[in-house]
Amino acid sequence: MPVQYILREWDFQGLNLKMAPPVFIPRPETEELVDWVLEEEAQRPCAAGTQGGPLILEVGCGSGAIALSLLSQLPQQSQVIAVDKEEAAICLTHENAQRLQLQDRIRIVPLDVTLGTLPRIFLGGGVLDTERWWTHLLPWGPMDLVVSNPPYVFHQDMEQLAPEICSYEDPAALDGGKEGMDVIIHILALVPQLLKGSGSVFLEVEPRHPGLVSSWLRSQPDLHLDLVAVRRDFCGRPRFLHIRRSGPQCGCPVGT
Amino acid sequence: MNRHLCVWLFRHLSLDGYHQHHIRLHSQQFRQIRLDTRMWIFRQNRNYILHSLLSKNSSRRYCHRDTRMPWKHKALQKYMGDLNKEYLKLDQCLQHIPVNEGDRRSLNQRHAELAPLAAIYQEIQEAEQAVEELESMCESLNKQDEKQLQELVLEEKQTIDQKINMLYNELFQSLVPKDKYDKNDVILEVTSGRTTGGDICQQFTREIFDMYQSYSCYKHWNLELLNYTPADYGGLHHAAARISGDNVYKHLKYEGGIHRVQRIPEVGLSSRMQRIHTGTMSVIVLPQPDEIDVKVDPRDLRVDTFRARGAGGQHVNTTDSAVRLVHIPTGLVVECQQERSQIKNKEIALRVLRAKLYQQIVEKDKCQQQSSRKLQVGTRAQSERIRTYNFTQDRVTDHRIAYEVRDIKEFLCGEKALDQLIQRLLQSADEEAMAELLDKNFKSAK
Repeated sequence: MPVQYILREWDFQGLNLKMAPPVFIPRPETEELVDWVLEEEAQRPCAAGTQGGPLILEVGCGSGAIALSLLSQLPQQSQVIAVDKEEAAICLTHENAQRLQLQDRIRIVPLDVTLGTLPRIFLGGGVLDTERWWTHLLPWGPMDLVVSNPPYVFHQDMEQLAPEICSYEDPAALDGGKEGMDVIIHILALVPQLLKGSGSVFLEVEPRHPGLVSSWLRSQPDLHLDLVAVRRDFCGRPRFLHIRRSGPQCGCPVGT
Repeated sequence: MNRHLCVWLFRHLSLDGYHQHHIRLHSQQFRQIRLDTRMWIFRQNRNYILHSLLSKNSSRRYCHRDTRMPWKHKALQKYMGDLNKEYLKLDQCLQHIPVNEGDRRSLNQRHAELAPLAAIYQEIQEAEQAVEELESMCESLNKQDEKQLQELVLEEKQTIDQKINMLYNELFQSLVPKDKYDKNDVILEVTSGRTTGGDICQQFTREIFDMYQSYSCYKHWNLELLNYTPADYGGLHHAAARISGDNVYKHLKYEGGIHRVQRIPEVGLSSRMQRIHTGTMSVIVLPQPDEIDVKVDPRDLRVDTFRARGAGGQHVNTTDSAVRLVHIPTGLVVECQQERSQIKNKEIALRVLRAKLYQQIVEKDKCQQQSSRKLQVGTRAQSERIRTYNFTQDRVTDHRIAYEVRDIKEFLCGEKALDQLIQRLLQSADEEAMAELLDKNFKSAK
């Protein structure tokens, strides 16, 4: 059994978080994702969010590691909306937020970003899409940042994972489909609906993904998204992606 | 010959001055009002030495010489005379003769350095003159057989003697060359030695590390553990800690070296046979540089981690957060697995690497000083046996200054007893530095 499940707690970015099976255990690489987001936020002018702190969406919050470590290091007015499709993850994030006294700044929403049909532009035809589930998130306003550590393991690699991962952690938190791209595509698809014109997307991915993501974005010109930066983790593997809107940065999201 | 006299001279000052002072305090209470305020501060600084002089615990081997004025010694007089002359010359130079900017700056610097020394020297000269006058007055009074006045004059003379004493101490303090790294923080590393069997070394290492921990509490320093690797059965294999505070390096620099232990162990594997065991452990004290002192280029580093194999990320969930940094230009390797977070481990490893690089710079500096001092800090000292802790005879002996302390348990508490030893070491080091300085001057004058 992974030691984090035995101890029922582990550290992440200096915070002590509760761990419970089968919720995904935060990996050390993800700490660098948080560092990168904080660096980028520090460089932007302070008028980023209307409230003085950025509004962040985290997809697949798991134990709440990314969301809570961002909140603890960003200004008081920053807020996070954390979504996850797994009930256990929702509960655990809630518990951790309360442990760290951050429950007022985080909203935890059970939501499966892969559900519901993809927007019209993918279907290449005149099929209207009635289930715009992401409209649930719209009342909170357009986001400044979308951050995620989505399941990105290639499906064929799943059986080669170490036994302590296969037997104890939620496979849905790991399996990313045929090329590990399923969840990533869904996130990138909803970006135009939810993200501010000047906003950014930060993702943690598999080392093989930067090329795949780049070519996919080019094949979807209507999304108007560009891969602007790839960062390596401490082992030197390309691990993190920074994606922004291409072209003129307009203030309002497309098609509300 | 020179050296002996200088050493004797220094000791005499610190000792006899005290004896006189102390005895006077007891016999002439009302005289205290006339004492200089500086004298009080001076006495408080050396208070524990005074206490140790009077306590029965320390077994010092001092010879009590007569109360002749030792500072009439030629070398010191000559040296001070030379410095004074230089100062006066510089004074004239800077005022009358025009010099260009670069020279002026260096001359000004030298002038500023010599100013306090020259001032003290002037004071000493005046005080000595006053003493001579009093002596002659004393003699004349003797002839006139006026006991009362004579007593008063004698007392006046005593007071001025004290003042001269104190001025000379001040002079010594300013003359003794200071170690450039004295103010730095340190990284203290303890490593247990090897024996043919049993774990006496590991137990001993743990006790010594605990001693240093309490010592840094006693001195109100901040101790941060960088590495703590316990051995089996309760001993300590090796440990490292970062100690920050005031003048940490100054106090701990002479702790580096091999410490030897002789005991009949009560606990642990070795206790089965009741025989005296000997073991060793080594202590390394590295001055910790400030951020600006040592520049480490990230491109010169290679980071090795356990997650380096395979795809990493979501594919792997090993809890090994150990980090190993390799500094490519120098080949230094530093490991750290103290913390749960790999980022924190990397930071700690980087700090230790900085300290080790700094140590290399320091060593290079010190190697250039061709000194034959007994109290050395540097590569030679690292492999020398500096202290023996004999538990069966309840005695700690420091071999460099031939100093013994009783009551090992008290010593290992890492408080007053250890502090006294360290002060004694510092004093010896000062004496030797002073002797060397005068020697050099003497030789160069010839």
